[in-house]
Amino acid sequence: MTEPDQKFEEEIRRALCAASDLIVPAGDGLNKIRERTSRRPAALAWLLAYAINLPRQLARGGRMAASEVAATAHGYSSVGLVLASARRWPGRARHALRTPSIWVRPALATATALVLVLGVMLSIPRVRNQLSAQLASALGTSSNPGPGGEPSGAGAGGAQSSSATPWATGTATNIAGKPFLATMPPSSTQCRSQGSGGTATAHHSSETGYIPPAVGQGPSQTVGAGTNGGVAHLVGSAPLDVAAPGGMGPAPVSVTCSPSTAPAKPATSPPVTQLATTPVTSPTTTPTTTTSPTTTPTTTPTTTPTTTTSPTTTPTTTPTTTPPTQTNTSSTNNTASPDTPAASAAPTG
Amino acid sequence: MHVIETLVVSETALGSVPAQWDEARAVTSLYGEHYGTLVRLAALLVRDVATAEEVVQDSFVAMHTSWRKLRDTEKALSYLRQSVVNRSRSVLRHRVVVDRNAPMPPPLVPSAEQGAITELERSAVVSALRRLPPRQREALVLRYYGDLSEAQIASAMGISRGAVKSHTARGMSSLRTVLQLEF
Repeated sequence: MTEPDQKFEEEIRRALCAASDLIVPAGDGLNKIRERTSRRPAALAWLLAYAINLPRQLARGGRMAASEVAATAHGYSSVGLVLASARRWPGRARHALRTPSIWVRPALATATALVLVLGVMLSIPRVRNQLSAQLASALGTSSNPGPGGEPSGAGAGGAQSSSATPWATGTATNIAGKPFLATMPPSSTQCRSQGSGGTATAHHSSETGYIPPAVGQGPSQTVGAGTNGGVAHLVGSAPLDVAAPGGMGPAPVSVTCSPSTAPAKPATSPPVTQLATTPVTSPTTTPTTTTSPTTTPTTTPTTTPTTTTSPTTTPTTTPTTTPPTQTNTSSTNNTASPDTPAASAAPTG
Repeated sequence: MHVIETLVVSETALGSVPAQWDEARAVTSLYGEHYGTLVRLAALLVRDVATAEEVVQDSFVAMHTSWRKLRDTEKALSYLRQSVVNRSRSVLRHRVVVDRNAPMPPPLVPSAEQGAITELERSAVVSALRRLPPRQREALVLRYYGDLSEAQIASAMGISRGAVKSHTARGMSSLRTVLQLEF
């Protein structure tokens, strides 16, 4: 550093010190500071101090535990000393209980943490519903209709799922040569078609297996989703897909009734093998399922509508009547997607 | 000059703040030793004695609040100095916003604080210092008033030592230019 620089620095230093000498702070600074520090609520300061120290104490405890474990592993544990001191615990406990400052703070901190956790949990509707359902079931009340509630389904056919049983009990089989064949017990799911106009009903009750007719009009209907979240699709007298979207709603059911007039074509979609395993359905799968005519050509003209859609026809009998050409598939889960229909039949005959 | 000596001596004597002291005792001790120095430092930064006192009191209150969080209570003065610098910076930032939006009219009757500021502004060096960017001003004040090392300045300003060198060099150059233009 050159000499002019040093001179300049000295000049700046002198000027700054001379300017600062003019500043005389007021004498009541300490009183103001004390007043402000004592203004804070004592309880808050108390809890804050504890909360600040808590992680440090936890870390210290962890270190002590680790060192104790290491000492135990090396054979010179201090467990004996601990046990010796443990004999004096009753007296210490009495002393601690008589001294609230020892236990009130942790107790309050624990209670506050519990209240916070409970508040956060109860503020989430899903968790709250689950808790209430579990409480209701624990108390022996089975009147919880589920978040879906009553299905609507008036007029246009309905999709109804019972929330008592999460999903239907139908079984799906994959037979060689037949891409997909669902065999449903008579009481699980039925698909019914009435008339030529497509009056159809899709009703699923996993408890009773009863499928009452609903009034559906027109060749293509999107059956209204009930308040349980179920959605039924009905395309004429052809594919009927009933599925309940996921969430906490009840059983997703996929029912497909193939039309009897469609030409036979090889199945274009791979067989769905993951059936009755995943009850959760995304709502996007149901509205568009099997609504296009291109997805229905899996049936042959030989299939009569009565075999597929009569109320007395069960899914187990339907494949046997028209094994090679027609398939009435009932699926109890929602793996059917718009791109991969749940039911497809290959003309094996 | 005695201010610098006081600051330096206090810096070395700060190790006498024991770790087992509680916050009230530490605040009392640090206030007695360093309050005036810190107020002058803040006044050089914010150019307002009352605001400087508020800044320093805020720093003491903050230190009192977070005394248990201090890992090394023997560095309480470093913590205080850094707090003062940061709060002075916040005051200047807020003042810029206030001046931009609603310029305050000058008071009709000058108060005592105003007189102190005027005395401050009479110094050519201080008035030239006022025109510097905040970081350069902080670096120069901490360097030539606080007589701190580069590491201490870096710690107080929250920047690297290289940045301290850069700010100091640029500030000195600008200050020299301004002073040569005035005289």
